[in-house]
Amino acid sequence: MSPVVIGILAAVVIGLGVATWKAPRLTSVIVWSLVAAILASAALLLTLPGPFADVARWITLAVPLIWVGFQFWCYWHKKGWRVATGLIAVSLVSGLIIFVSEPMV
Amino acid sequence: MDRARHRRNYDLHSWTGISLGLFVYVVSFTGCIALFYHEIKTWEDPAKRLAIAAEPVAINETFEAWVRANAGDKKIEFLRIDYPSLYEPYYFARLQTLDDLRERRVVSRRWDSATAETLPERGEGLSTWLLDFHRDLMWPKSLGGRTVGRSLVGVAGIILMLSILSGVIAHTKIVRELFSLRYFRSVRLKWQDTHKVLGLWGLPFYTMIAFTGAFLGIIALLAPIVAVLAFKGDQEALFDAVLGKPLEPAGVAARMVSVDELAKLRELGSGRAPALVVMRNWGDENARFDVYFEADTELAQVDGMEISGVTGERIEDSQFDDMTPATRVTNAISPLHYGTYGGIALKLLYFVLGLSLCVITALGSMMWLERRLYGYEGKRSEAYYRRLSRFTVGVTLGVAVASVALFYLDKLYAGAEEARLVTTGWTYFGVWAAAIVYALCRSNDYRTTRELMTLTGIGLLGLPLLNGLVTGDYFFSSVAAAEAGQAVAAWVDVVFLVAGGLTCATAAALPRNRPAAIAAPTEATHGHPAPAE
Repeated sequence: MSPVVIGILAAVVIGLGVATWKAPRLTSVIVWSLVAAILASAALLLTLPGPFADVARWITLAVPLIWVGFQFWCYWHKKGWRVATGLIAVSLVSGLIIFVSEPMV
Repeated sequence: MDRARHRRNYDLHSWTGISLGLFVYVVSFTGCIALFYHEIKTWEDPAKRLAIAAEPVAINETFEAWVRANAGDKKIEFLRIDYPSLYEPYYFARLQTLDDLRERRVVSRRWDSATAETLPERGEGLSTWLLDFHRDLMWPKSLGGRTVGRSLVGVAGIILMLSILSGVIAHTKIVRELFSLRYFRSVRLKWQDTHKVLGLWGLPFYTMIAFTGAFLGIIALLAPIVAVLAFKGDQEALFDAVLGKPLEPAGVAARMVSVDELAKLRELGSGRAPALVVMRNWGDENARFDVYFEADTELAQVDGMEISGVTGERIEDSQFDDMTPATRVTNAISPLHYGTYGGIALKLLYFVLGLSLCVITALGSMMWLERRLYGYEGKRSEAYYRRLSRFTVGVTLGVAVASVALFYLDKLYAGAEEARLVTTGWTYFGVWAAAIVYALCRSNDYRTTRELMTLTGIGLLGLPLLNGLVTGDYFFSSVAAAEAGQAVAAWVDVVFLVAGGLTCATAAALPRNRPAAIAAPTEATHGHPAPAE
């Protein structure tokens, strides 16, 4: 990986970390809910049983609902930090599932 | 619900509305116009006002010659032919080729249904802009292309869903608020009650339109990401896995079944004639044709069948025969969003509900500003909120003026057809920007609103006359014309007159200044948590 890419990635990670530290609820509703929704959808796609084409279609239909659900949870829950850590945890678990699952091709 | 949670929920509803409310407004407004894409296209293009021949002329020979002349040795990536229909009363073909240098070329041609003569090409402009601006904001290639624009429009759907959810939760007395419209009390109460009543009565429609819009937009964003995650970045593999792997060409030339013969096919259930045929591996032994039949009164995008391009025999167990519930639901999303399944009456209902969504979003912004200009909320200066208020007026009414201006451009345009779409874009943004600048320069928002609405109304009223002068089709003589296209164009003119009259009447009924009677702050914030300051 080139130093430029590493630099950009490091800047994004630090920026996200600072933003989450300063405003966990706002960062969660804008960033973490989207990350969690995409990773959770991909993990569901890889793990749910049934014909792949059908599962893919149902998951695609569910993505807007999952995303909005996560966003709404950000403001529904009392503790802003718990929301952020919850969404990061969902992202990490989903990422792990994607990592250990057999690739589709 | 405890007070702190109610407060957080209300904050969420406020900031989604304020930060992206104008964007949602623009997407909703352009969507209202995009509903009538086919009707506007008929009004736009004189070739669409032709009569469909009672016995359409055979086209196969002309079509094949055209394909050979344009494809040459290049690979045919996409080929389709549309049969004459109400909105397109001629044969229409589109061909996409890929050459050895991996360069793509798209060509199209249309032929008169009675004589098979080539009809003059007309550059894309008015209707394409109005539809595609709603679908993908006409996002430029230099900034990532239409996929980025489409995803952004999908985000507007997400924001709308979030606003709806938080809005419904914020209102704890829904049944009472359904029937509460205090019209003669104060500005804020009038706007607030209208916002709530319209929002609650139209809730099922707004939820549906937000969800389907989010789905249609997010597919473009999601597919590449899922491909990266599950298919190691191979988007083609993803499409193959979902849609099935297409049959590869055999490399053996073969004579294709005549498109005139295909026109005689009938759909098994309804007996409908084919609307269009999409051809894969054209000219090859493994050619496969997808024959689509219009399903304009059903909540299904299309009905179709797959046939062999060589023998014309139906292929069993094709994608059309394997319609699972998931396929049916996803196929229904687009007709549900664009209201194409219930005729013109349904489109008009969508239009009214879509406009009411625009009113709701605009009222939300207006209430937010009103509370800061004349209430106790807000931390910034009055001058800041005044500028923001003028900008809101410029954006919301400027988009209407800009849309009307495009209809004038369409009829008065005298440049090259290839440059029509670019000119359309510049005109759209130019007029819109001029309206925003005008609104920012004016001190009285109420008067600016009246003026821009009146301008829009007068613009609409003048369109039928312009159409008559340019094309010779005056609506009063064409409305009962035998040619369906002429009648459609005439009815579009009638709608312009009605919409123009209503817009002018609404503008005249609006106040010239902010009404003097102002409700007390406690009354004005009814239903919402008390201001934090």
